[in-house]
Amino acid sequence: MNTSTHITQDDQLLFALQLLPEAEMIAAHDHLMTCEDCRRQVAWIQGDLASYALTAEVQASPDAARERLMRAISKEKRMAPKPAAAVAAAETQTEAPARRDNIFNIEDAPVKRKMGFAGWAGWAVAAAAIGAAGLQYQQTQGFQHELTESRAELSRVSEEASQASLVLQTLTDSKAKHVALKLPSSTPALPEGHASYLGSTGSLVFVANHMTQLEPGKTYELWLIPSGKGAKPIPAGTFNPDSQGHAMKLLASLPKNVDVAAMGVTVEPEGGSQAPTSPILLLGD
Amino acid sequence: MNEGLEGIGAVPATASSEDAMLLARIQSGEEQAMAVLYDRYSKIVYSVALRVLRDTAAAEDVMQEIFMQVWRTPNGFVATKGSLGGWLAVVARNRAIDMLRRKRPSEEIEDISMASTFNLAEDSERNLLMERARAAVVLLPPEQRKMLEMAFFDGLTHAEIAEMTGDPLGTVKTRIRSALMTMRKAFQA
Repeated sequence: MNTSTHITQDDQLLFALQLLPEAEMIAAHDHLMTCEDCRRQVAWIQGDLASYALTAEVQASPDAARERLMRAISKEKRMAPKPAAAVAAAETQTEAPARRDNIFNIEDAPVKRKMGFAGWAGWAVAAAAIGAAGLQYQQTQGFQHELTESRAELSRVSEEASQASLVLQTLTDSKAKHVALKLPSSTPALPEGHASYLGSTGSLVFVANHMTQLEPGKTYELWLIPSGKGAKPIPAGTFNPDSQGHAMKLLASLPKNVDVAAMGVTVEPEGGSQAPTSPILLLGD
Repeated sequence: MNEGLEGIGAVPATASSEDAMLLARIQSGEEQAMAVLYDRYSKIVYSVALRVLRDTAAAEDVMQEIFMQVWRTPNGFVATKGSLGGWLAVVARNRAIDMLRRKRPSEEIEDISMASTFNLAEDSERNLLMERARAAVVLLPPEQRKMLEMAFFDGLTHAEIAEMTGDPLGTVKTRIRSALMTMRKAFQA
């Protein structure tokens, strides 16, 4: 146990809160690996934090979230690990053919001896083995074909992902120059936003230009406004423009298949709101 | 020392064994067990993530990520690490803060170990513990309450809190530590 340089109480708390700078986080982690005292203290703090977490106001998760999770899980089906008994049985079976070879060893049989049951059984085993080998060959060919197709698919997906990443980087990098092209005019540019919502995936891309900087503690919030009388606006993320008045937001998990009648932007308290608290600044339908 | 370790909402062995059995079923690839886990803990995970992010879509993403992590590596949590519900709540907070700060998840999910063993598997027990936690927080001095909230739910460091509140750094540290100690005592009472 290393007792020479214990983690201070303050750093234990910051470690538990994951708020230490990265280098100190690593150092603390290394120390905890060897120091039972500090580990116990941090475990205490984690317990305190867990109890404090319970003070968060209880909110039911969206109905669609459960279905989404179960779909994702189905896509990542796992093979159950074999129980130890099954592994032992499998190992026994791998040894069995050798013993059977001894029993049905045709080399040991007299050349002109009439084949008895054991002899026929030996040929039957051999025939079965040839059949199994043939089947295995076919399966292997099939797997190789699937592997080739999978590699081609992976290559295509990687290329698409690379392009998508480049598009996203170009749109979001703080060093990118964003220019809105328009007819020459002397009037100052007005705030504007462009949003694309894809209902089948619940994804949304939003790009805004010429947005005014907000006072501290405020943020812009985007809303999906569903069709239908009395439908409540759906929060679609908060954003703050950069020094050029530009903002870009990509959301991948909004509610799916919303019949969007319009979209709007309001100014909300930092962190966003669950329902608009101020008049709509930008509106589009 | 052991007395203290079991102090926070200590529960009968059957309570955590329920979760242990559930994790074992998940380990064996049983999808229905994940549905049970989700029904049991999604409210906690989602509520904590939403409290940090204040964005329903982002909170759902965090929740999805955490449950998928459990599905992929169910043995990331072992019974010796305390309450599964508490563990999920803390992981939800950490992941949400990571998202808030736009950084990659910094911690290995397995690294969280806690002394508390309170049981959140049962609705009634969960509600009781939530009430107890809220009652303890209400009794905190306002400054302590605010600073603990800033550190835990807003992910602000001591230095950042000191800068925002104008209080000396030492005062911030003391208040947060005191607030957590009060919480601990309230649960031990």
